[in-house]
Amino acid sequence: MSPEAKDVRVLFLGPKGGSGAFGADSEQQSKAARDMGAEFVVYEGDSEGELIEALKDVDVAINQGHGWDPKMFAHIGNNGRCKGLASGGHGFDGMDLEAAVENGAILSNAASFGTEEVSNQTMLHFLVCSRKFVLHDKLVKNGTWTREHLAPMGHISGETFGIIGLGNIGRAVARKALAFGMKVIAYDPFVSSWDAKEYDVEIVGTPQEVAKRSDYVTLHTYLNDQTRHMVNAEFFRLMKPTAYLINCSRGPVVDEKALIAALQNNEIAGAGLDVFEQEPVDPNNPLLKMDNVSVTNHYASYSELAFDRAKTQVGEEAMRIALGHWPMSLINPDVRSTVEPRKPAVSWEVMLAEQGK
Amino acid sequence: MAKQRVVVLGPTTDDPLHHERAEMADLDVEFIQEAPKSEGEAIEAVRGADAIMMRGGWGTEQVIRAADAAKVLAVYSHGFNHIDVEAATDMGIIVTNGAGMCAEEVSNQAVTMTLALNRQLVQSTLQLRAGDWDPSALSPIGAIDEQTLGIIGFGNIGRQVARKLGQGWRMDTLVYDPYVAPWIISEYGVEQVFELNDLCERADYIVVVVPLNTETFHMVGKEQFDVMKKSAYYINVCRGSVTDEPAMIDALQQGKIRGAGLDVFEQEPVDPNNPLLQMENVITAPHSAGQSTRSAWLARQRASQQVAAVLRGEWPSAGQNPEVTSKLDEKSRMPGSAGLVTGHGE
Repeated sequence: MSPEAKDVRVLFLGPKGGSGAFGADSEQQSKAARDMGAEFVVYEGDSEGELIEALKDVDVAINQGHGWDPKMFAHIGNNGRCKGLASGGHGFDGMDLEAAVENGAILSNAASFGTEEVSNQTMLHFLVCSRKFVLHDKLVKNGTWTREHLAPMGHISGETFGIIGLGNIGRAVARKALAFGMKVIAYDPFVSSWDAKEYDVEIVGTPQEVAKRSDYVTLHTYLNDQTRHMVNAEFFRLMKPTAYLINCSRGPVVDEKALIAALQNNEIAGAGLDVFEQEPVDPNNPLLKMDNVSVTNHYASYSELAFDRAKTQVGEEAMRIALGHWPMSLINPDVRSTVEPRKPAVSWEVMLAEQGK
Repeated sequence: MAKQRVVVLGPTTDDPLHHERAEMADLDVEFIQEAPKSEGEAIEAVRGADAIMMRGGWGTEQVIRAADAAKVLAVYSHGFNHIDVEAATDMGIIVTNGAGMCAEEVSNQAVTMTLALNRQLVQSTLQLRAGDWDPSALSPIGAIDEQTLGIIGFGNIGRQVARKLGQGWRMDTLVYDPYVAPWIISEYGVEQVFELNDLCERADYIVVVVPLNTETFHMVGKEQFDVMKKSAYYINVCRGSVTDEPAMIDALQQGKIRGAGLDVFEQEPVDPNNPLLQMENVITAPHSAGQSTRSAWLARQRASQQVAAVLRGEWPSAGQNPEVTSKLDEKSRMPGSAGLVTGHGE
């Protein structure tokens, strides 16, 4: 039996020390709980024991940059009152999904909060690479006016844009690349053929085929055991020497040493990177010295609106979990096999209407 | 390991099953074809089957409860309103449908009816046949790029309708679907409304594309027709009983709405005396929206792929009862369910 909204207690686990990517306050994360008349509690403890105690008296927890020790799953899900964790970000590479499933803990993320921003950052790096902007910006500012470094330069329209990971962001990127007149291909083993058709994307069977055929390869996967270093020395050998790699996902999806070698050996034409294997990036990282590499400091998902949306959404997902619904973005769907059936995820406006709000 | 038994229930027992065999060529399966004439025969047919494929009826609770060994029940059609999904879930049977098998065709039927109603195509044909050349008799004809489309149900088909009419014809598009994730809405650039009546009040063309179930039975009834514009058209290409048909007939007879496009009826084949067939402002089709030379074989291929996935131990791409996983024991947990599309209200 799920509690009534007025009896729900939501625990907010904010960033430990420092302010974290989303800040330390919880004003917006608490909005959903407030709108439903539920109680919102900010965790202020600092020890395992205190956290275990805090979890006993809540229906769900919001995890926004707090970190989560997998052994804490022994105190939530099927083991206690707290049914799950709503994570405030997009990636969940720190989460032990298997432990969550075993303990019946429901996990959600703030899916798609930055889809527009990340896909735009991807297109930015793509254009900057294609037009050799980094080099020419530097040359012009240094007083050198020359066209001798332009070739080879692609036409964009008619070229092939290869996407690895056709989720929300991958699809938005596909839509934008199609607007540039490009052929879009993608590798994603979880996308149905009818979805790919709807997005006007050709699905290919292997990442290698994306490497071989694309003029630009962009990565939009999660980081997990399947995707770690999936772009490696072999991948770069398959890429065209005129092709570019764009990464706005997670640094370790790319074997960075292999990327540096591929760039130094002219196996590929350049790269656009928002993320690195080590962040903040080492100032001596050779990637920062290359004129055919555009770099940004892992802010692809940022805009005020996107971050506001993430914070609001995580609060709504927490209430869905607390009230016996599935969250809109369930990140460990295997948990369906270890928990009792739940009500489907419904729009927040419908949740409010059901509660007479 | 013994051969897995795939029981195909259909109208005949001598189907070559080309697509079914091809999709499962790597599996050790035997196909058993049955054409049951009664529920009793269907019950006998499914006993001991590892997989059941249904080209037609017999998805009743009694039949499903007899399927003591089945891992999957695949229907060839989009709709699975004839299947007792709850019983299947309880039995630990994954139910799959022909998702995407005819989304192209059904969405095109919705677009065709929308445009035909807008352009008064049937009415003008009838008028000319009657020897009446008077274009003004067809007015008013709305400028479609300034009109509003309302889509009820934003699944595969609803999204295609939005892409075609919303983006192609630049119609303002409203969507009612309480289960769809907000990011799908924004990807399509449509406006989501959260009350069905809100959509009914504002739309010039109302297209309904939802599965028929207890929640959607008669979801468009008197209350909805009462709030629609007098100039609105209602288009149903999903299942007849999503509409309260007597209420629709009343609404049309009383001029509460301007017309309708109907591919489906509450009773099929439709009664030739059904008043809807006599109305000049109602255009109709014999539940043919899903048909094309492609959907005919794609239905077979899709259903076979679903069965093959389950027999390989993977979650099928068109699994319709994900809550069944709570009935599967740990060993048979499906790793592919990581690919379950969330936010689609499954």
